[in-house]
Amino acid sequence: MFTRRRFAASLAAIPLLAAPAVLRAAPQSPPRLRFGVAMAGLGGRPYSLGSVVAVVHVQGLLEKEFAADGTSIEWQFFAGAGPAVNEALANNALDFAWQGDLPEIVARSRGLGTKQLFVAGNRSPVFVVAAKDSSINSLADLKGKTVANFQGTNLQLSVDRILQTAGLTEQDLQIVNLDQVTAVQAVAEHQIDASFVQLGVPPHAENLLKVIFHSGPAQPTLTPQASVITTEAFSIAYPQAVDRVVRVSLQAAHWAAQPQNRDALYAIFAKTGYPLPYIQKIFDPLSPLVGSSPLWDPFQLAQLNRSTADAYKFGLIRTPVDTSQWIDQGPLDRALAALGLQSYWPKFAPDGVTRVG
Amino acid sequence: MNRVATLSLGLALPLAVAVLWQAAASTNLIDVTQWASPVLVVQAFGTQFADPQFWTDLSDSLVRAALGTTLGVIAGIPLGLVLGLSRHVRALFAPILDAAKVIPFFTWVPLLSVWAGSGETGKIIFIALAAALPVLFSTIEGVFSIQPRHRELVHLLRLRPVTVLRRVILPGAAPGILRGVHLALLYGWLATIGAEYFFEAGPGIGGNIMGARELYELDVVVADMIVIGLIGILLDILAHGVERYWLRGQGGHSA
Amino acid sequence: MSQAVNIVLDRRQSKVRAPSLRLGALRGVVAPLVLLALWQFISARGLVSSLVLPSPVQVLVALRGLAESGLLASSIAISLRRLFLGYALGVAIGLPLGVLLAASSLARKLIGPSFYATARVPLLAWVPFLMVIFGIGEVLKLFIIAKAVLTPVTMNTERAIAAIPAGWRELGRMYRLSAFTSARRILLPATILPVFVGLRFGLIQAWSVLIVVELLASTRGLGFQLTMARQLFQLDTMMALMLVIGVIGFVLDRGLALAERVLVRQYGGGA
Repeated sequence: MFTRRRFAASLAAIPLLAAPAVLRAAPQSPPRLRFGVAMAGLGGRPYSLGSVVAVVHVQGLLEKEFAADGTSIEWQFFAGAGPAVNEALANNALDFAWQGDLPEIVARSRGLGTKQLFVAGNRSPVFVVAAKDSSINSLADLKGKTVANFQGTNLQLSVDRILQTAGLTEQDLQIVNLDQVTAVQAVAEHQIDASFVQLGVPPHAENLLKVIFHSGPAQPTLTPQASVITTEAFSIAYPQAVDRVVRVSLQAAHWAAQPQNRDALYAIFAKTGYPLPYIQKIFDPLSPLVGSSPLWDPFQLAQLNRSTADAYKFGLIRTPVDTSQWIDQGPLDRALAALGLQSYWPKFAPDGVTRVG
Repeated sequence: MNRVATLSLGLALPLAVAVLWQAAASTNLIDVTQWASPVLVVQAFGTQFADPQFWTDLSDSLVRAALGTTLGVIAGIPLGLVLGLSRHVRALFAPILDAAKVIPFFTWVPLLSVWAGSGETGKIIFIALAAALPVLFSTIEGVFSIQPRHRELVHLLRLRPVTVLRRVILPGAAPGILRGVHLALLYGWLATIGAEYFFEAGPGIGGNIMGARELYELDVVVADMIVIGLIGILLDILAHGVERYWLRGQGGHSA
Repeated sequence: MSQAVNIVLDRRQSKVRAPSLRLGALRGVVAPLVLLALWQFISARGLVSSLVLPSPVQVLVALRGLAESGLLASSIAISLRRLFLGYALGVAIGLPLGVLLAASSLARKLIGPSFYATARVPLLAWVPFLMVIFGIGEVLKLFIIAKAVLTPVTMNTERAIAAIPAGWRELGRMYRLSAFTSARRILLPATILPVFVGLRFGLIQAWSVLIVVELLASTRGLGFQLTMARQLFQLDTMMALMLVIGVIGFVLDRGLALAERVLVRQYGGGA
């Protein structure tokens, strides 16, 4: 099928067909590099939190890395999260993206050509909140109630899995599609009964809400995952640039993993406009080492496959997706080797709790 | 009733509402952090007007509106002329036009954001479409309103098409065209605000008002709402003035 | 001289008219059919990726899927119920308000300016404000639809009544007609058409606004399904829903247009 990405790829392949001498002279770095982030700060601010991407952005690491090549780095932050990033990807408006697993799976199921590079922002805690004075106290009480979900984002899969633990499905509830900020306010004002919230309960709503469920450290399989992907076209056209982006991101991840950098990390997160105490409350209980890990260890691989299967099972995609060729371990392995970080991050078994290797 | 009395009567209602609101806020009958108060709204005006970012955002919105509306008008007028002049073309496209008239315009947002992207291009195309439709329909009406005897004159005198266009059609259709442009300005502004809600967050007053809503800053929401409304009124007055100026010599001919 | 010209022209026109009458009805469907064929061609040949442009067949399949799952029927029911409730509210307030503004010069001076000022603020600018006040529940939708309907209905009613020639009211007084008969015999025929135009415009506005609100603060209904399809990048479902939304808007408008024609036949001579 003649698609735009194939066309771009075939155009990009033409110089590769030329003699090695020409190849050596071919441009190694792109004129521009467009990075899409499936999150925006409070009120739509162009910042994100919760992953190494925030560090790379705020510390200007890509700008520094590509300064000598004259590559312009363009960052885009999407308040519409993963689905909005997909729209940009479909328009060939991005080269890299940080997204949750569900939107990545949805895009792949519709034929968008991407490559998984590394994991970023995993194991976000998920809460279910209800109004303080409501009669809802457990997941089972959610049956028949109006509950907010942010559809099409990786939260939706977590929601389905969490509901499953209580023997419920989305059909047993009245699901409302809302962004997180609106959802929490709606619960606080008794307009809806409950909401699923990723990361934490926003500070101005804390006294009005109670948490009826929290995905603790013992249940990482219930948490949403996110990763950084690149378009197939870009990875074919500029493989060196992909390697450099991954290497720079791993350096940032290593920096973020150090406890002594925690305050600086929180300061970066705070640029989203969320108050510092709120950020501390979310990230203090989490391990910086585990949270910054970019590895496709057995846990992450199992999560990806689980998400793909679940997406099909819950009717979020229409055709099953094959993940076997999706992950491009090359850039990640090369970057780990180049930085000597092969054994820095721990690897986990599919249950996410048992360490392996 | 003299002017002063009329003016004060007109202001009576809004003033009463404002006073009641402020009273409720000052006596803590309502929670000011949730419901704001007229004083807070005025303060919000002040803080925003003093903030250069607000003016950049506002001008971004206005530029967007101008670009989109101009595009829409440029597309709409020739299309409207063709459709108005040719019975055959009109018959061909009549059902499509009828349908276009009743399809809620914002239904196109999800599709456009996929086809044209959720950035500036998508927004401007959306605004252009919103502006083009009223221009199209009004231009068609304008062409219809050209006096039949003028058309006969054309046949009779066997004028060159360009001359016909310049001397007969355009002046004749001018009232309709100008009405269309007037509507395009208003709908274009509306579409600009809508585009800023539905497409990805970028600078703009529509984005501001939504951001304020997310943060539950009712005072900023009300202040921005008034600004948006004022601009709408200004555009309306502007368009009205242009219409009157342009058509001032056409007393006898206007439809 | 011009008479001769007219005759010549008329004859010429009539020559053209006869064959076009036969083709006339068919011509209307040509353009849509051509577009449809073009669309099918482009997607069948894969000239544009199906990610971005599903084929007409895929859209129909998606439509059938929606219908079979019952989602279509329930969404339509929910959206239409909101529409009619909001519309009824808007008309119930708009008609009397229009009458009041036309009849009482005090009301016109007191309420008029505030009404027209708020009518000037585009409805979309009201949405964040109303969302803060009413939240995202049914009340919000009811209120916004009612407001969308209120403005044209009130304005048209006021204008219609104000446009009744003073002489007619004189007539009513001369014949010492009771208020009721006066209303029936004079007011109604004179104003029903312009008022109806307002009612018709109000319905289309209401439908548009409903979809907008459902896109923004989705709970259930057609706008919600449209957002869901967008989130899951299901363009065929999106287009199927757009089709449904467009058709409903079309049917609503045509229905009222028909009613308008009936009224014209009955009261047309009026003004």
